[in-house]
Amino acid sequence: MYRSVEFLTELKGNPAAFIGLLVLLFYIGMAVFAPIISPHSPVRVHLDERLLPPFWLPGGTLSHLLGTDVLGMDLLSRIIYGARISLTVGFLSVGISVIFGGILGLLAGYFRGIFDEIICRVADLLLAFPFLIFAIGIMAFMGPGFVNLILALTFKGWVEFFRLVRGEVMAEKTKEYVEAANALGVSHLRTILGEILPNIIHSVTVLGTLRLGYMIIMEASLSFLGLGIQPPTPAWGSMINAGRDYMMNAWWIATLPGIALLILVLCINLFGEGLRDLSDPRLKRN
Amino acid sequence: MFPIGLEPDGGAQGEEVRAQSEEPRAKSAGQKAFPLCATSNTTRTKEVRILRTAKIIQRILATVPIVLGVVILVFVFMRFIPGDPVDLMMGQAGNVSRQEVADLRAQFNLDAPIYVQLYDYLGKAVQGNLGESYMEKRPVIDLIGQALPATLELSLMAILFALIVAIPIGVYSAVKQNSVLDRASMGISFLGVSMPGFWLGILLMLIFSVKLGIAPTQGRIAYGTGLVKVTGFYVLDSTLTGNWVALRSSLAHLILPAITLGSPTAAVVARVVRSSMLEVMRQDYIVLARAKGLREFWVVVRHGLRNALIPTVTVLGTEVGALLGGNMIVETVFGWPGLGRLAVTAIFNRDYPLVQGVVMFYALVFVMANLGVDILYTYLNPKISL
Repeated sequence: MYRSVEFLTELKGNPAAFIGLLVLLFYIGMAVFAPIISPHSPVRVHLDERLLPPFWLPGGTLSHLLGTDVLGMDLLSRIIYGARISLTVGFLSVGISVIFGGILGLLAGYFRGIFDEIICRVADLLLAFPFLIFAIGIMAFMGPGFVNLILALTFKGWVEFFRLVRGEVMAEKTKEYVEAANALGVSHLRTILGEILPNIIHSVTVLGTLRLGYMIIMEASLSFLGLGIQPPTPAWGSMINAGRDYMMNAWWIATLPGIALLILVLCINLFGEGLRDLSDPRLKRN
Repeated sequence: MFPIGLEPDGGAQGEEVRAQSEEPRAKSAGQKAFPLCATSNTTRTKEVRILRTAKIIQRILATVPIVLGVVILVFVFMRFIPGDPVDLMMGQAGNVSRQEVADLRAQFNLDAPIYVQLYDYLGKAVQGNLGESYMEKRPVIDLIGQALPATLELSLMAILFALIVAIPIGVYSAVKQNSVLDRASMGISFLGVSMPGFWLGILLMLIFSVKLGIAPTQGRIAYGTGLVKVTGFYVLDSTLTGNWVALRSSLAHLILPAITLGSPTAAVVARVVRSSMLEVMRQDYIVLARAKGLREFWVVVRHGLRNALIPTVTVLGTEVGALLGGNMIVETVFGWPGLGRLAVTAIFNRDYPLVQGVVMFYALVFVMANLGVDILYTYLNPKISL
């Protein structure tokens, strides 16, 4: 408790990061309370209300604040619900990557040996693929869908966390407190979890935050290509894709979900950079 | 982020080497044991060259298993797809007898054990035979070759755009640290890093094509420009053949996709150049260069930028991956007939040999680009651990 208060006070010293955190929390609230706050159902088709513009344009109505798409679905409600997909995919894919990569990194960095060798070779191999290409390839082979999307993103996503944790563990292992723990006969498991892990959790959190924005963009990109979340489920990427055909007469369909996406990713990145500055003053941007 | 000891600049070191090599050479076994402190400089340069070559060869050799692994991984993944290629083809063909299916399986070697198939595939891949596209009924390698110039043209233009925009901004931001322009450009570059590429493309298209009508939305070139294809690079071809109408058209088609693709790279490069310039400009040799009475412009460019570019090169290496992935998106948005669109179309057609070929090709390009950057890096950075 004390630490989180201290953390927030420190974060206030960096207004950009603080705002980033607030906006992220706002989006999370939006996603959680989507059924309560969204004015319409995100998937209800109203063919008589197709392509309505946002309320400030001629022809717009207050009942559809941000207008409607080609099937008459309310854009605001779809954007609100879209936050659910983006945040769920983002948090899940980062979370699974952290757990998987983290455990492997702890074990490989601590015990080294043949296990470390094998995992490192696998990591090198996965790093040979550009992220999006790899994810696209996996989605192509497995087909679109929520679970497949998470799998495609974590399949390569764990590598970075593995490399980070492994490196940190190897550095920590040379320090006296680990030697002391070993000398006292503390079991390996307790040394790893009780002594080393608390010392490296900071940098994992920072990387995790920065990767969250990236994963959200990846999800949107895959959905945009038609390989991720499929319509009519509201996901920002597929909404933008659907809006491409109506750019001439209904620009809002493609642009507004993109603004929601941009603001979210921007704020996550601001928060992530703030965290990095906090956890390592040496990295502070000049 | 870049744990690289920035070095005294190459120029000054070169002079030092020249001055010392005037000294009488002393070679003895004893001195060779301490090559870095006592040997004469010609010997040292030679040793550095040998070590560097060894390092590069080692790096190239390390790439071989990766390449092999990439091919095997992609191949094995292909086998996980429910339904083999013959099932897929039969689904399209309609009524087929059991015998015909068996014949086709044999023809595609699908009845052999997987390691035999893999061996077979590797043998053919080495000769450049990546199989045949189901849809186009043409060799995958031909389709890749046909789409490659479009993608290369776009990528090169994007990198060019990124460097031309980012390096001056990064240098200026560092030199005038905390000025309004510095803050503004760093803000914009932060925006650029967080910007989803496909959305930027749509935004640009909306503004410049739909609203202003000054740039085309789709394709590489307008119909009826009479372009003669020589290399497949339309900008180059139209210049070579003196077809200015085609040149204008291809440049107009190129500009928005190139900006879309290059923007994230520009944002990253601007930030890296700025931070490494700030680091470099604090070094003693900059003070020395100023004390020599060198004009500030040359201090910044020759002594500052030259060294600040070392981390930039590394970043460009990682950016190649982003560019390759971005290609798929940007080519889809702008209907650019390159590799990315080839891959995306192939995915929707379930044309697996083509998907396999393109994904593999992308991965190999990425591996090679990283190898190239590493090699370049050993040359740029005089103090790299050998």
